[in-house]
Parts: sequence; structure tokens; C-alpha cells
Amino acid sequence: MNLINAYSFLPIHAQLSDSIDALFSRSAAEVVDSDLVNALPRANVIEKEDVLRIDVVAPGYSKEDFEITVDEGLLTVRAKIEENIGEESSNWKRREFFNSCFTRVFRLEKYGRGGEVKAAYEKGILSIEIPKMKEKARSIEIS
Amino acid sequence: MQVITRSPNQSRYAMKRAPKRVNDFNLSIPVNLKECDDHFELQLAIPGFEREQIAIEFKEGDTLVIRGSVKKNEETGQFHQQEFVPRSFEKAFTVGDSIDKEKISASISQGVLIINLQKREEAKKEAPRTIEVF
Repeated sequence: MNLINAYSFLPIHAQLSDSIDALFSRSAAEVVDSDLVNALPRANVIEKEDVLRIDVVAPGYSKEDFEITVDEGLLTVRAKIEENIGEESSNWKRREFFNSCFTRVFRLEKYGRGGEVKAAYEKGILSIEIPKMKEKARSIEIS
Repeated sequence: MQVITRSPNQSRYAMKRAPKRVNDFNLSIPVNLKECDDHFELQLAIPGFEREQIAIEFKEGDTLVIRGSVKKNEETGQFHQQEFVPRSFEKAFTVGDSIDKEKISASISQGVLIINLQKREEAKKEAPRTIEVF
């Protein structure tokens, strides 16, 4: 099975200052390998016995901010919120994270065709469960 | 209030020479700090943590230590992609005298830990004063 991020975008992340700090104390290889360059919300994809679970790590949002769609084998997770980057900027003494809009797409291939996709948002993690399609045994006649 | 973040037993400069793990450990929990008129709000992004896994304490009078402990990962199934692994952490903040150490409260909501640090009366921001010019 292949899971490909078909497309994705996110505004420049507020962790930039930390990234710069990190650049001076780490080698480039370490930075490239780290979370700092990964501005998209991180995701785990776990295949269970009868479901495929996608966990998207997005703390600080509310349930209503998310929109999940399944279309032609692509599962799209969208977060739509009012960007609060500039909000009361003078009050922030340190800003290493903020919530912003994002889109992440997963290719489901053989999963999720027909079954009901369930989603829950708890502890800052959006969990999406996609039922696995059971392949029926087919007998092929010899003519 | 001067908040200085540091990993336990590490000075700011010692961090540069510390092993990679320490650095990662420190950067893995992003922190926001907001100053309001009568309090500071400290926010930590800790997705996946429950209230019971978090411990907050004052050490040596002026160090606020926040610990998160992760139980052994009992996730069963096959990982096709793993970009996130919950890890135990410890963050320490040096809290200045302007904070009333008796008036600290914390709450957790959707993976964000919010700690409210009330300012002492004398440290509260006064309203801007207008000075008349004669």
C-alpha cells in the first residue's frame, strides 16, 4: 500500500526563530531530519485488523475546524480557522506554535470504498478510521 | 517576569554540545508565553497527553518544572507511516519575583496545556498615564 501526500500547503511557521537557533547548534543533516522543517501537522497511519487509522496531530483546534472528505480514493483533511498570527502581537513574549489552516491528503487505494469513515478529535489528535474492504474469494471458471 | 526555558541540568550554552537527543527533547514541546495585564499565560503543545500524565511543581523556589510521562506504547497494528511518537518530557522555567507563586493554575484542552501565572499586585501593569503639557 502506498500513502502519498498528494498536495499540501501551510503558511510559514512561527517556529522559524527556533529553526534558526537550531541551525547554529546542529548540523544541516540533523535539521533536515527533524520536525523543524516539517511545517505540516504530523500524521501516523496504522493498519489494524479491520480498519486503517490515520492520526493527525493538531493540538488546540476544535472539532468544528476540521473538514474530512473522501473522494476517488483520496482522503482529505482540512483545517479551516481564522488565522490568529498577528493577534495582540505585543503581548506575546514567546511564540513557538499557533494554529493555522492546513490541508493534508492521503491516498487510500483499496481502503475506504463503501464503508463508513469515522473520525474523533481528542487530546489534540484527530483520529480517522477507515474500514478495510474485505476481498471476497472468487472462483474462476475454466472454460 | 523573566521566563528562561532550559532543559534540566543544562545551561543555555551547554546545550550546544549536548547529545542530539537532548536537543530534540527540548524542541519537541513548543511553548507560547503571553503577557496580560494581571497574569502570564504559558501554553505548551502536548498532543496525546492526558491530565493524569502531567505533573507540575516548583523546585528551588523559582523553577517551575512541567513533566509529562508516557506509558509504554501499546499500539498494535502495522505502521505505514509514523511521524509522531509521544515521548516523555521535562521542561523547566525560571519564574521571576513578579509572579505570585501561590496563584498558579493549570488546565488542559485538546492537547494544549495552559498555565496561568498571576502577577503580584505591585507588578500589575498600570494603565497608561497621560501627562498634561502646560
